[in-house]
Amino acid sequence: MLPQEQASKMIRDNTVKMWMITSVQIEKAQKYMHNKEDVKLKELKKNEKYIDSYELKLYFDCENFLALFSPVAIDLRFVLSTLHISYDLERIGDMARKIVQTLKTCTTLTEDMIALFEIDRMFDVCSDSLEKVLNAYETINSDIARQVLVQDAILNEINKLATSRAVTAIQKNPQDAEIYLNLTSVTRRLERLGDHIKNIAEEIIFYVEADVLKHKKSRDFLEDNLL
Amino acid sequence: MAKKVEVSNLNLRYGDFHALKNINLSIEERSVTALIGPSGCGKSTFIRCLNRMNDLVDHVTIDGSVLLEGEDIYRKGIDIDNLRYRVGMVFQKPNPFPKSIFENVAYGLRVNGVKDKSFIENKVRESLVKTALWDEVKDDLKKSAIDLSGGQQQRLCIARSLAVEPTMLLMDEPTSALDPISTAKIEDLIFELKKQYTIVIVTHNMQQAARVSDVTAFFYIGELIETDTTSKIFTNPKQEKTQNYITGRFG
Repeated sequence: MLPQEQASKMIRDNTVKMWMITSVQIEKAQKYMHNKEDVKLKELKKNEKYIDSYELKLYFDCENFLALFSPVAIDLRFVLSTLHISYDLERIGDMARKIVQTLKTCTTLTEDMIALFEIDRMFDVCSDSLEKVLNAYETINSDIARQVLVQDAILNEINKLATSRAVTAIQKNPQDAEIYLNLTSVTRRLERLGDHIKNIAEEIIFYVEADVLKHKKSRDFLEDNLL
Repeated sequence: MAKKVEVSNLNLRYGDFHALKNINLSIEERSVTALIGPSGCGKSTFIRCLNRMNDLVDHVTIDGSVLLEGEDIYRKGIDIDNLRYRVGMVFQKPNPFPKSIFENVAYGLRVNGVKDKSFIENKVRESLVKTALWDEVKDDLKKSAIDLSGGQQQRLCIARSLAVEPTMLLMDEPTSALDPISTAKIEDLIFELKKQYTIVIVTHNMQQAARVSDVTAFFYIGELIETDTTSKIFTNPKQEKTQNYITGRFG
């Protein structure tokens, strides 16, 4: 294997490892929501340190790759997209931790409350989307990444409903107001988490097709003002 | 931008060997076009078609047309010496004549019958200034060109080409024998010269092609596989062969 191929394989392998740990963080956050005894918070913290370390490692490895191999075309897009993906994975890890922190304060959380806000469905969509984008990255397949763009709409929709659901629930059970408000915060974070997964999907499409999807609406402005 | 060169259906054979296959390429005025591709793909053969250097090779047959400023340079009766004044060439290895710096630059003018001393002096100075060599050699114009460094010799050769007021410059791997500092000076020079001249450069150095050229053309086994703006070629080439070559997957 040529040095460039070795270096790119190392970057790819480490990205996948970071991805796996991030997926575990989401699973653990979901488990924690149902049963706080099932998840060791120490383990979550340790995983987060791994995620941060992988982000740093990928940053240095990508910097070296750019300096040593001056990549072009698909190789350049691979490094650029990997840098962005590692940033998004780190943010996803952060979101998972923040969700756990929020849930920690919800001592009287019930399954009915979780069901009311469709939080399990949001977690499931996030986990499924993250798995799909990983598959898309590993197989260099932008079609799979495109499926995720559609799934993000589900998260947005559920998050939009959260406030009105909380208002109704608080009116019925004002003693649980704090929990309901915390659950809206959880749905908001899951929606943000979905945005990061969508960013990753867009990066994979850029990597494979050289098509930049982000800020599509600003494209005309860019062409008129900055190009 | 106006078209400087229009190459249509160009074929070149060395005996039975088909070295260039149906090449079609437009070169815009005051631009830098880089020709890239693996060894033996026809880049140098192509560049030599642009000032009919291949005429000097035995058993060469050429068909198709090459229009320079609208004029077919392969038509019968064309003045080939004049063509080569108009289309200067710089080679891989600097090739100064064993003469003084001044005489190297003045050579083309003298051969062309120019006798006006002050005109020649002005042209020599102007050419050396354009190649950023003047400040380095102005006090040593009588010094032998052979004593210059490799990078200076190459810039001298470019100055020699410029002295006869070409309209286009062909550069066949002009920096492959130079160190990085001399290479950078030549690249800076190319950037300056393109304001006035049309430049075609053959290079094996992908980064150099990316740095200096506006348009890149990728050749492979005698065919022109792809030509596009340099930024497009190095970020998102259309052809898989181009991508494989520029990313080092073959060649």
